[in-house]
Amino acid sequence: MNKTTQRETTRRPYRAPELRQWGTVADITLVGQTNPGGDLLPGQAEGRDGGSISPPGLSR
Amino acid sequence: MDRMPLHLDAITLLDGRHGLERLLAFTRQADAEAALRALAQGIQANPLWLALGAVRLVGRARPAPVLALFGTFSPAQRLQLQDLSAQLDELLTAHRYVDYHDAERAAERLAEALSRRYGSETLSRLRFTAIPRGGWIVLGMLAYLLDLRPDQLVAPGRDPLERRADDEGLVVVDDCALSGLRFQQFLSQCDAARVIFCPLYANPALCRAIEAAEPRVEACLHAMDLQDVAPARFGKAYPQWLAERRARIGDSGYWCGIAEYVAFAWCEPQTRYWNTETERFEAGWNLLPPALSLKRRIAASRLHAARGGTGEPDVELLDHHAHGPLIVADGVLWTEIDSAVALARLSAEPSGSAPCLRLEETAADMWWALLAHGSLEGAEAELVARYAVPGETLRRDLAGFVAQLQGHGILACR
Repeated sequence: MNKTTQRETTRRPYRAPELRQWGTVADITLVGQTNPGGDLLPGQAEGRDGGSISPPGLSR
Repeated sequence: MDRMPLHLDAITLLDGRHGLERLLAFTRQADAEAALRALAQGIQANPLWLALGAVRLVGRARPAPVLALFGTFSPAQRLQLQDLSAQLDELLTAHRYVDYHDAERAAERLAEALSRRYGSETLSRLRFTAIPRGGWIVLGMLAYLLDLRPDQLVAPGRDPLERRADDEGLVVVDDCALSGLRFQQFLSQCDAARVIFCPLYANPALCRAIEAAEPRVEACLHAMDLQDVAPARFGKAYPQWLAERRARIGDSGYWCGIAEYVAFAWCEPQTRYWNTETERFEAGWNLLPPALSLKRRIAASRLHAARGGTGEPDVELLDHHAHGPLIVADGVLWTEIDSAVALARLSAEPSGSAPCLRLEETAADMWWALLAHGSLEGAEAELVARYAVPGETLRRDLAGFVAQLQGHGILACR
């Protein structure tokens, strides 16, 4: 990925680079093994059942 | 996502620990890029995806396939993504995809089981129906295999179907039974006195439970076993979950287990989740790539039309080929949002303590230059021509910037 070669190279005012925190990085991929307790899925995401218990009106 | 949000998080959906082979097997693709695109299509072919709003799906195919979502998420959306991630984890650990050829082989086993138990004479007097819609595909195959007459095939709910079937028995066919509730619902509207339930795929314990619970069900015959994944899913908490499940399920099901994932060339079983805001079950995530299943393909087409899209997956796949000594570390993803660069090193911290970084102006330019050249020298040569700054200042700042990125585990030395 050569992003810079696609840009115009004009001499512009310089500011020292800063590394700022924008938010967080969360890994929820292992929560299923570490935080059980819901109905069928961990946490509060209860209710996933693979679908065979779809109520009337929901086509499978 | 075109405008720069005040707050931006990255949520890992695929962290690479499953490896490439499992992803290729699930998506039925030949290479990592195509597999990630197919997976992205599967994720985006969901109403829940549309409800996420402005988000950015970013992936990297090498060395191990990773996928993350950049955006601003409500607590409810985080729970939905947790559900998505848990499903992805299970699908890539074990999944079963049944194409039409597999279905025919399974239908042959079902036909043999019916023939063994009842013989051709009795079978010729039975009537057959199916639970819509996948059950009809299986019944169509069974009709050929058992040489059923057209008058043996009956539609459910057509009076006097049930009364006619009373004497000889009614065979109810479905593609799968996961909890048995769909069959239970079917049975509640059926007056047949003698029923034989034939799901193509089911857990044997579910079949035995149906036989025990329903006096009208003479037999529950299935062709292929589905494993119970609940013990593996809940681990040490399985007994607790089982007790809660038994207390909660009441009369609404037969079996306290969770059948392994199965999907068919015609449909992927619907998933549901409990929406804590609306306090009702709503459609959950379905992840099978649309190209693998008729129903998914139709759903994806409708969703694309609804959002005015092209049908192509909206995913950024990063391909980093640096020639110099500086490389982007494994598991690091980045994306450009309104001229700023968001950087995320996929973390093993569920609590979300690792920072999602923002680079703007000079920092963003330095990032792109480092990516392009893979060295301090190359980046410096490019940047010094662009900025009105003494070379020594730029060199010092660039070195400090790289050191900071290395400290965050974003850049590494080859």
